[in-house]
Amino acid sequence: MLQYIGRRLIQTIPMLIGISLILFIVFSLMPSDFIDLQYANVKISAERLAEIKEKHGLNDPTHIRYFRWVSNMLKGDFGESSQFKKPVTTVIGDYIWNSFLLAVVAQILAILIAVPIGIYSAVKQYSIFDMLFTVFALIGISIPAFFFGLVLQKIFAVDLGLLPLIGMRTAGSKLTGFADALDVMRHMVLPVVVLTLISVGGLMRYTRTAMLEVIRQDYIRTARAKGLSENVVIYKHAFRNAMIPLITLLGFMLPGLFAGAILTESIFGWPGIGRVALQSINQRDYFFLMAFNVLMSVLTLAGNLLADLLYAAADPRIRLQ
Amino acid sequence: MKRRWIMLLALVLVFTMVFAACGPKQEAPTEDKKTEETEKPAEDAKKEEPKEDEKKEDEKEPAEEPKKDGDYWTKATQPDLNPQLATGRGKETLVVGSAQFNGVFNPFFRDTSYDQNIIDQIFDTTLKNDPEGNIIDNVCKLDIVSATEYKLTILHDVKFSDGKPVTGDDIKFAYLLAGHPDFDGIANFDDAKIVGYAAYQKGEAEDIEGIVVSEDKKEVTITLEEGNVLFKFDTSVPIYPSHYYAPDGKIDIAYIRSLNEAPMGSGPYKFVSYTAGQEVVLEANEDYWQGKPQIPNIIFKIISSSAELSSVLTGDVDIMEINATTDNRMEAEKAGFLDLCVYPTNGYGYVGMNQKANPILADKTVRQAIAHSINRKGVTEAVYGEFGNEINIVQSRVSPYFTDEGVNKYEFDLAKATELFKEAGWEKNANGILEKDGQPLKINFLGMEDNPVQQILVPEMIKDFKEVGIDFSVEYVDWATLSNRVTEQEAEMWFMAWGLSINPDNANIYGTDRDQNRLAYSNPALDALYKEAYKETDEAKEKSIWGEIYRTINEDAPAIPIYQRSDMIAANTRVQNLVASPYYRVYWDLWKATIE
Repeated sequence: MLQYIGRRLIQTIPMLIGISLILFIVFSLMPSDFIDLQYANVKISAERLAEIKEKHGLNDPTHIRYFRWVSNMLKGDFGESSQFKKPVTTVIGDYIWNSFLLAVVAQILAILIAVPIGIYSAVKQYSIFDMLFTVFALIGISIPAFFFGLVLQKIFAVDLGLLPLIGMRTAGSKLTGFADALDVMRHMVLPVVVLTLISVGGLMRYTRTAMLEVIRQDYIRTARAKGLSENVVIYKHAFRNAMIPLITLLGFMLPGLFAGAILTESIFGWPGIGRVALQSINQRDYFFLMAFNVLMSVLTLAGNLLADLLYAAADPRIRLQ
Repeated sequence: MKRRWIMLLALVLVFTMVFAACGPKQEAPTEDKKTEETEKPAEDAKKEEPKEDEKKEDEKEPAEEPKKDGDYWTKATQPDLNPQLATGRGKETLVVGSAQFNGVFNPFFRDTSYDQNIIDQIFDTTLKNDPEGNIIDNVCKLDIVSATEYKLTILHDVKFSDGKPVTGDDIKFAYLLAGHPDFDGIANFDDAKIVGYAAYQKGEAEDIEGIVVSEDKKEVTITLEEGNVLFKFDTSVPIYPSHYYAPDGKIDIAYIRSLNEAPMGSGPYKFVSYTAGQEVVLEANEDYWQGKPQIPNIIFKIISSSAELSSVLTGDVDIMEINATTDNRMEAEKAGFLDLCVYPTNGYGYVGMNQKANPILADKTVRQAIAHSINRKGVTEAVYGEFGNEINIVQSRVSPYFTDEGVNKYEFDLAKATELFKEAGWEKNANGILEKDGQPLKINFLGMEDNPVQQILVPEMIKDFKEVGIDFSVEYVDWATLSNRVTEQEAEMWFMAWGLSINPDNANIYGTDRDQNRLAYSNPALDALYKEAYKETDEAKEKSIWGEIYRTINEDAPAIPIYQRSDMIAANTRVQNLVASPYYRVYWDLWKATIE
């Protein structure tokens, strides 16, 4: 098992090199750079601009810049964000946990809601209940986050004044401990509702489909024939097998927990990393973008490895070689 | 297994591409130093910043300002509808809404005007301007000894918030910092031609020879190599506590940058804290030289653009700049507890043309014909309604330098345009395209799709240009690409906006071969006028020369000014004594505001 994990980790090294290379090339192909943008409206002579670019090493060929970036990264220096003028690792640290907080709560809620409903829908295929939740799931999948978010804001914050409109804490709140946690929780309600609704539909359909596949198998009929109770058949025999595709899905959710939800964060003024990442594309903040994308790649690979390990836990027939 | 790896890689790639391809709205907060300008896509108001001179001239004058009922304010009608969320905060705390901060709270390093609004509370300036745009005394007074010699004298006993007095060395520090060889911020005095500045910047001198601090540390005299009366605009600088930013007397840029989130100055408020993505907290500087600020605590809270109006309606924030639209105005008026301030934005949107990228545009008559082919009035009306005016010269209509004497208004008139094209030798061919010497009149326009102005302007241009016979194509790009191609002189035609400041000088944009001349435009007569204006110490004559300059640019039409829009500020009526104008940001005098 440990050997297997070790081997898998070693395999990720060439993957990461490939990913970083492609990312770097793509970003360096984008027209304009952060110095151009910063000085776009500043009265500055072309010579002085060239000097500044030279200082930032922007005049070097792409491969030189790539190797410089990689070697600095290996030393633990991910560079400085051009927008925030401080190390990108600090910037990521400032924002990413806020995004994580929102995403993890929404994702757990989505799983708690979607999985039981998905199972029940499969068992009672074509019932009124199934139809109802199919419609609900499709609404969730197709509703635009920004529209739904704005509607919630209008109803609950502007008209009813029940929940905070925006942000993560009340302005200038000097609360600490439990009172502060409560304040953050109140601010989380609306964005969590939006994020949950968006992800619950897909998860529900996946669960339902996976269960339907399994329920028709011969061994389920065998289990029923043995006289096992319906609950044992469904939850022990069927659901364990249905979990395999769900685990794959969960593995892919890992980077999503840290990526930040751009639209939802923007509407609710949540201080997450999604907006920052979007802004950094506009500002051509390469160092931030690169560090953030490398982090996302690492998480994607980690999620994948995690999924493989969980397969073995869910299905004893799977042996990790 | 293998296949899954490939799938994964593909996914990451797709993710990257999507990520790299999606260009969100531009918020190009920028501004510039000394010259007027900020070029950004004109989009919704608050996204383009009002620019101001790099030096924030803050504060207000000691004279009593009228209450919020100047020309620009409309008072709330039903103050009793004020939400509990706002009134419950009491008189001690003011909450101001803002777009995202970058946390660079240093006047010479910050990139956005949102960061500047914080800086304006913390730092003071040598001079400032009044709401009409005239330079007035602040911490210092300015004597223009001659066109080459400027003397700043400290008028008041001013202390930094750590109790140390402000001296001439602190004033000189701004120039030493901006000119430092390692400096990579946005401020610069490069073209002011201060004696010894270039040598200092190249690292050949330890000091700037032409800036002398007197014995008693009360006076700073700046000498220029050649006369330039506009240098007066460059003498309003932020006052840095040199003992704090350069403790051992040596400027170390890395150290100064490390203080971005710990700013200190002599302004009305002191910095308390900054929470990334959330808020900045400030507290009153009890020893502020003009008197103790009325409101002890100010919080700048980050509000997303979709919630600007909602945030004042709910009472989350007391002051917020909102887009000047009829919908917003009506909703704010309906609420009853908001005072509204509307004034003409200090800037203009324009269609630019580069004569090098497309030599056809080098003919003045062709440019004038194009000016007649753009329905400026109709587009402005459609985009901004009551909050925009078409504009004919490249200066704000409320500027002391404004003139409309002898200005060509370029009415939308396709018949007149056709006539001018004919005069320039262009005739329609069989396909209805204008042709000269077998060459069709082709123009490629670089546009931005998600820009509210261009969504109206571009279709209108396509329609009218087709009618007049121009072979017109449009290519859409994101802001960074557009800005890059315009700067590199590769764009033939585009739409952007310039922000203005109190300084009328636009030579950097319209002068031959100047740094920001992205039009490849050159007129020796105009260059001569600039030289004349720099030397003219008589104010009335100086203004008439600027009028001549604006007329020349209007006549040559190197770029076609389209409109001047408006800015709108919504303030909860519990906040009184706010001062705002096109030349006076509402943030400058927050220390005078009171909460009732």
